[in-house]
Amino acid sequence: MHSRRVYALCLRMVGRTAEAEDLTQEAFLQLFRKIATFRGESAFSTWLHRLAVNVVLMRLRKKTIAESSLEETTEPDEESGGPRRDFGSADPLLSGSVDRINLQRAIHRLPPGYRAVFELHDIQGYEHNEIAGIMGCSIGNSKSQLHKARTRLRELLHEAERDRARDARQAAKTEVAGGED
Amino acid sequence: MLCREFESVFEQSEGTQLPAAAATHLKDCHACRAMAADFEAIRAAALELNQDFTEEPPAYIWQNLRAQLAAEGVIRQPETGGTGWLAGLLGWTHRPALVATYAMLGVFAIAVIWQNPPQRASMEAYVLPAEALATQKDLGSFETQAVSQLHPATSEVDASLRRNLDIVDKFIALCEKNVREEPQNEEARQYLYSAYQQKAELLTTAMERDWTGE
Repeated sequence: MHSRRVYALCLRMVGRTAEAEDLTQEAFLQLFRKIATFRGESAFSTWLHRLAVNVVLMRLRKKTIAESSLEETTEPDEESGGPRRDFGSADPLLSGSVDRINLQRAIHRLPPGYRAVFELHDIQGYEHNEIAGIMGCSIGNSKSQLHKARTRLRELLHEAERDRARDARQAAKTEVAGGED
Repeated sequence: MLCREFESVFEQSEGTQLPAAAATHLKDCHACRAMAADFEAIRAAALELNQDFTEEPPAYIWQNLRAQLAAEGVIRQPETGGTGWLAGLLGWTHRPALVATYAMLGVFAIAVIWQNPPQRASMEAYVLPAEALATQKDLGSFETQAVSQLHPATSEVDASLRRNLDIVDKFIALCEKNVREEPQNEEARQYLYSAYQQKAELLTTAMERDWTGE
């Protein structure tokens, strides 16, 4: 149970199976090394996830500048560091249900902090007070990070929908052009 | 309420009911309603991602983990070498030598209970009971094996083990003397029995130090 959740967390955080396995092993290694320091002040799962999240975030921080700069393509706004939303503009609604493959792709494009909070809250079902314990932040901060993560995901999913629509139009044009020839 | 204000309230009201002003704004504003609906769709899809994920991490992770923890001395790696039927029999425990010694001492204890001290006392007034002699002999061979695995005197832990073995040996000698002199004395037998136990534990520690590579 715990091992699967930790593995899922690692896999969605890094996106690569081999690295996720390595991180899972590292998280449990930390668990055994530090088990004597567990005082029961939080639930065991919270404590274990805190270790796992720290292991993953440490690894992501160590990554090359090139990779980090790619993650910064989330275009945070200047004031809050979060994704930009144009207030007053009529945002299109995501058409029906969200495609899970697109969602997976979009999650991988989130900055690590947003990704961790989104993974813990929306995917694994942790409450904000638990996430605050895991991430070492306030409940308000956890809510704020989650909101920004969802806002950014929404943008990325809209982009994916627009790309798909453009590809479909392009394919239709090509088909028409081929028919005229 | 402006959209920007609504978003701040919406963000922090996560999981709770929206205040009346924010609820009114949501009802009237198409853009904010679209955002809330999309967030709900994202959340629903995210929950499905979790339900879909049933993969367990591969087994080799646990093997690597065990090896790493054993190398660091956090846990003891069970002996995997083939020492015949005894290894198979005791394979379930991390401390096979200790279990073997306790089993041996258990047999000794049962034998002592079944013997008839008053009758034997007259015949063995100045020698140890046969069962005690057998245990003494077994411990002796166990000791030869364990002490041969102790590291040179440069190791502080091994030096301490040797010192403790000397102390226990002296205690055993004293207990054996008492049992020889008063074979019917139950208390003297108990002291001897617990001295053997202490020695068995020390020898086990000596052997395990070698297994764990410390």
